[in-house]
Amino acid sequence: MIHLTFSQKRFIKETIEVLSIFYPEIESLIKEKLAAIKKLDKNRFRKGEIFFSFIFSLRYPILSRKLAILKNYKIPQDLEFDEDNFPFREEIKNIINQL
Amino acid sequence: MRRKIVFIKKYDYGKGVFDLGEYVISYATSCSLGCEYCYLQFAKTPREPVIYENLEVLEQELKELFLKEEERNFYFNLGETTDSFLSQNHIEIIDRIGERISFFAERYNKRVFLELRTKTDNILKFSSLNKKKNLFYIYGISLLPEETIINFEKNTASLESRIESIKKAQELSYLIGLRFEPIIIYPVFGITYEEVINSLKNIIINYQEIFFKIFKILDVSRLHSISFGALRLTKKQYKYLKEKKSKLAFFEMVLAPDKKYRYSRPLRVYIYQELIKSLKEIFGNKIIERIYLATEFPYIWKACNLPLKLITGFIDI
Repeated sequence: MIHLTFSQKRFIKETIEVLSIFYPEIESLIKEKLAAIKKLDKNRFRKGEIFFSFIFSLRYPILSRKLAILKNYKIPQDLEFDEDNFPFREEIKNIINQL
Repeated sequence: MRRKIVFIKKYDYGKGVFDLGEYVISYATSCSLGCEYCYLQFAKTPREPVIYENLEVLEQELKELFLKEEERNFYFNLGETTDSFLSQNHIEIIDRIGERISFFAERYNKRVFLELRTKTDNILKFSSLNKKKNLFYIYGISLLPEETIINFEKNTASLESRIESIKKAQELSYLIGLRFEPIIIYPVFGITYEEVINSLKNIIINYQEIFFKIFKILDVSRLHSISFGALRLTKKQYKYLKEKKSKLAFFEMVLAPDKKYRYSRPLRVYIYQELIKSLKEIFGNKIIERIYLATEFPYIWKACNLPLKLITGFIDI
């Protein structure tokens, strides 16, 4: 078993819908990954986190990498903000404005 | 048909988006070009294109606007609620609107820019507009790679014809507005990080090819401005396109502060930066003075090293 919140489930469903437009085999790819995660020796909450993180990286291949680099900064997760309003402007501006 | 609500409105850019200072004149609504991303399909507008004839109301609004606002230069967009060159009737009403604007502009000492935005090449066959005092027509031609046009703008002119139409617009003494809007990430080579990067690089190459073609025919002295604007979709549009399995419902889109789905920030900034760099390489560094971002946030302009600038400030005539 894995644990996912209602909004996470909704996000996953939408991700499958959107990605299937570009990659029809997406559902089977996700099912395979889910089966592998279920076998992990972790509790259901941790398994849920791993699975959701996998889905998020599929849905946002660029943004998810940026957020991984920026995980120690408190910033809006959509990266839609003016970096001049943050004290760590110089540290983040090249990360958010480049691929 | 009579228009029952106002003709002139300040352009509604959305929350947080930089205000270019443009007005929209809704002299007609609806469009038969059938672009897949067009907001008009979701707006409460008549299904068939309609032209509003009660220009006496527009006259009154113009008079009030010119009296109320102290600025000397005004920019009116005539291609927001329809395609300006959709039919000969559109051009005829624009000519009548131009007469009225010119009259009031002269009376109140204003200078007016009228942007006629189009995805057609109808300028090649329609009658031309008469020159008028204190009034400048801008031929705002929307430019996209041919593959994107074929897939998402089904009843519009080809890229080649649109470029040909720029030559005609120059002959007719229009100013030229090159409108690279909407920029669509298409084709998409796959869903992985590497495939998305390759898709973006391919798009940049496609646009560079367009820039080279334009460079060969453009009279830079007639160039008013160049705009870039990536695809934006309302929530309703995104949902509809997703259900329809349209390739416009791209996966790396976020709901931005203006409540529109946009490509994520790194994608948009990369596209704009690369396109600006390419334009500078082809046209020279001074071209930067002619570039603006359409419906973007000030922090995106900053990320692209573009100074914020009103649309009336692009040309000194």
